[in-house]
Amino acid sequence: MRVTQSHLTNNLIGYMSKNYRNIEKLQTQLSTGVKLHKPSDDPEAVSKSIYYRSQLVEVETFKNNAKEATNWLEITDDAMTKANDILIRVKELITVGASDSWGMDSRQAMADEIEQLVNHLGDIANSRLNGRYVFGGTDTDIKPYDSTDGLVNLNNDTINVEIGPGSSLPLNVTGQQVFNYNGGLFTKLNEIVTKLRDSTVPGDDISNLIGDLNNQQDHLLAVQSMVGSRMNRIELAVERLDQQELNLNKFLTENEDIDLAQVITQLTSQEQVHRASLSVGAKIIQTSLMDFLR
Amino acid sequence: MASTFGGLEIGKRSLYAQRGALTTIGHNIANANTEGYTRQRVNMKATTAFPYPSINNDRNPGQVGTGVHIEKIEQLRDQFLDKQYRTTNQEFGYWETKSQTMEQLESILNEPSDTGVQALMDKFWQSWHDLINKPEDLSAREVVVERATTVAEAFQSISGQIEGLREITSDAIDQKLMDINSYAQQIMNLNKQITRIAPNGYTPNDLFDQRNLLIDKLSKITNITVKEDTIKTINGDVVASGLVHIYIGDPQNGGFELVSGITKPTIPASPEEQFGRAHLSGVSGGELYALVEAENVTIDKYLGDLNQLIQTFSQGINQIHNSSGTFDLYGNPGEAFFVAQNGSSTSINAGNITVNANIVQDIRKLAIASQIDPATGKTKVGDGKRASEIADLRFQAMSGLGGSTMGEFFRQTITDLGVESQETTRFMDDFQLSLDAVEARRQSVSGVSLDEEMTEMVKYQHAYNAASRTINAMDEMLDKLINGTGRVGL
Repeated sequence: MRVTQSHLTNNLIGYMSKNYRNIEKLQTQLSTGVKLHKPSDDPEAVSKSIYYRSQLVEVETFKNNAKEATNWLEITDDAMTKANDILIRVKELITVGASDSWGMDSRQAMADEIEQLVNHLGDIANSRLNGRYVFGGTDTDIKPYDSTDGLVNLNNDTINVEIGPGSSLPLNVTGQQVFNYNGGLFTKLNEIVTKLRDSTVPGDDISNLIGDLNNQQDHLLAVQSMVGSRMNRIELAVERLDQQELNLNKFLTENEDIDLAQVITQLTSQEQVHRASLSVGAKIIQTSLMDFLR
Repeated sequence: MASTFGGLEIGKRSLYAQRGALTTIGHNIANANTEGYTRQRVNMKATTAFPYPSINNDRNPGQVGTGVHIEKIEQLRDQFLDKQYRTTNQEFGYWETKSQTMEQLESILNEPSDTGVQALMDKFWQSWHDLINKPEDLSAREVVVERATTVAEAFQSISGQIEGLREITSDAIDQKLMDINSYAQQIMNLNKQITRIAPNGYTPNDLFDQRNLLIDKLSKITNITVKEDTIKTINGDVVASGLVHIYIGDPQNGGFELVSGITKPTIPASPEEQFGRAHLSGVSGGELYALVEAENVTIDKYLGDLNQLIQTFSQGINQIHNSSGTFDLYGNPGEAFFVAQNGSSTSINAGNITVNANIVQDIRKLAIASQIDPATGKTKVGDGKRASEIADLRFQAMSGLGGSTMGEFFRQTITDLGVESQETTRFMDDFQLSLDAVEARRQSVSGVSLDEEMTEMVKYQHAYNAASRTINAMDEMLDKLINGTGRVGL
């Protein structure tokens, strides 16, 4: 093949710009730290990248849901523990009050204390998280308990929380569920107060009420253990989500991040090639037969 | 027997011939960097020897030569390579232009990134979950509406940019059509000049070069077929490939005759004579085809995908939001969440999607509750059931997307784009390589090598000097003959 000067210069220009292109590519990879910049860089990997990112946001969302749900369940659990404490105290009082050896004055005092405990229980029924009544069903803006009308918000709807795609669990227990069991806790307590204040009621009648209270307490504990199991489920979900997040981040890094050592090595060797082509090119395009013709 | 002054004549002829060769070398060197220039070579031929056999010629022991003359100045060109170059150039033109379109589409869609459509959609879905966690929180509603607006604006912007690309493409088509007609005009003019010169026995090498260069350029724009007539001198010798006819498409099969020797295009070209948009159906290659394809197929495909996505997306949300079983904070059924800019909820596409202005103005109209209190008509504010249905849409296989989820569909679109663009770039690189290879072969035949020309120059210079010396010798001989003979004894 006959090779001419212009062929050589064109080649030199062509290869130089090719070298520059390669260097530019490596340089971009180095300065951004990622190897995927547009879909055509590696369509499959780009698709994966988009998927992983999307999944990460999803995981973050579900973790956030789980966090909110945990707060909610903790408040619920706390409220129920306190309600249980109240029942224990009421039972103590009744056990003492049922004895006929106490005078009416003491029974009045006990009734006063129980009345206060009922009010306290009302406050517990009105527990709020960020301004929402946790026992209010879906009417989270309506107080479940009113000191004059008793349990007023009888909304028994479930609020669900999503902790995975298509995986949700009921979050709330309603006032109806907790405080309106078997005639209602508030009604029972008020009945006790009335009976204690009534001097015609004998002590035995009062002690009989303990059975009802035990019944209520059992129910309360049953509901509380349900809340506990929900918390467990959410904890498990969070563990799973954490693991998933870790994996996704790993996949994402493997998928789109550059291997720094590799890229730097490539850049160095590319630089060598570039220098060599410049140096050879500069020598070749300068010489011609004219240098030797006299 | 040669005449007395025959030697001088031989010397003179040689001087002319060598000088002609040196001039051609000068011409080659001068045009070493001229685009489309083909190196020329002087063909020398010995002139007819003397004497011819006849009845009363003298009896010489042999014929005596009479010197040299330039028979022809010819181009060193390989027509097969020209043809190969043009075919490859057409392919290269197609893929190069297509790769520009693909590159622009890729940069418009801007994936993978933290600000691309997918990221914005993800944040949009996330905001729904926040709302589910706090259905009565007005600021969570505000965030949902704001994220929805961002998604709508992103799609509008992308759709607008793609439409802009379509306009640019359309302008480029018009530009290419103008180029084609302008090249056709120039080629026809060159045809005319060539026909005036060639029959006189001259080879208009430089005009051929110009014409070939124009045909090369034309071959990048579209699929052309070139046919050449030969030109004959008066006595019937074929001088050169003369008139060219250029067809766009197949000449046998309804191709458009762009240049017909010296008669078409006419001056001034009438609109029907010109190659225009009406003839685009015959175009099947080159830059022009890539542009036509971009305008009619590629852009529609990706814009269509986005429209399909946004229609399914907006319909899915509207179906839940705008239903008699979904209530806003006022206890009224929800309106359409997404609407087209003209307010219609049925003709939504990527270019006109927007969040219902009523909801933007009053976020209480965002409807996420599934129940109202039948007695009071009041919405149960803690009820975010419809919001979770909406948030679940992202996991659902959508029938409008051929059974893919929205995320899958979008990723598929991006993958399609990536694969097509990657393929385009690969083809472009391949054809660039083969074009370079053909060009190198063509240069190896036709390109001017300065070293070679220098060597030739020295060669002809020596010959010129030597020819002068023979004249000198003749002169001395004649001097002796004329001034030195017949002077015996003087």
